[in-house]
Amino acid sequence: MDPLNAASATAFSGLEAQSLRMRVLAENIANAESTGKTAGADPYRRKTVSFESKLDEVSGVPSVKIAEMGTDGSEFPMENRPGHPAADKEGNVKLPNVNMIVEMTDMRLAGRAYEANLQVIRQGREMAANLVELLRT
Amino acid sequence: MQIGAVQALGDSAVTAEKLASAQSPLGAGEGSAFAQFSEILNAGEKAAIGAINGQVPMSEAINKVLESERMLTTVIAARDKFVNAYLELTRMQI
Repeated sequence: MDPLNAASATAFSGLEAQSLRMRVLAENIANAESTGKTAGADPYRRKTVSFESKLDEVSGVPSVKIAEMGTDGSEFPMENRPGHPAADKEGNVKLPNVNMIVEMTDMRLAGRAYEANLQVIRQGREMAANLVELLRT
Repeated sequence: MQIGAVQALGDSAVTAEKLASAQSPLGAGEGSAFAQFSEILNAGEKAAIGAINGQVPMSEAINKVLESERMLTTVIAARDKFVNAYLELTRMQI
């Protein structure tokens, strides 16, 4: 494959990976207050993503893939809400282990990584266009 | 649903392939430059339709469409160069 095309294909895999990361972030933020329904039940557990470098079997281009979608095993914060359906005997409710600040920082990172990949695609296109331009002069 | 212009380009590439296979090394049967060209155009078109239907991720569709665009501009530039070369011949003083 042409190296410029390969660079573009790799950058596109980066875009896709960041989009998936964004999906998981959206899920975490949307469920930031999803508690259990029954007394003492576990609330929503924060989801995590990790990336890995992988060779795309169809095109033979090195690309980035989501290695696995895991869950964050950290403790659930507790809050005293006696009237809540998920409250235990002492009136404590387990809240999701989603930290809004962490999610926002992660979202910013995803946005920046997306922009960086877009810039790679733009630069590759410009280089290819300049090359073709040689034929016109 | 078909995107007319891209389909027409794909068809013309196939016609060009048939013509060229008789006279030029560019179009010598399966796997020739023109066959690959039409294949890439068709892949771009399919991906675009897939994205509209929501079956193909947007980034993949855009990648395929950009790939066919790159291919198309290169082929057009090469064609213009060949045509110009023939025009130069016709301008030769006899």
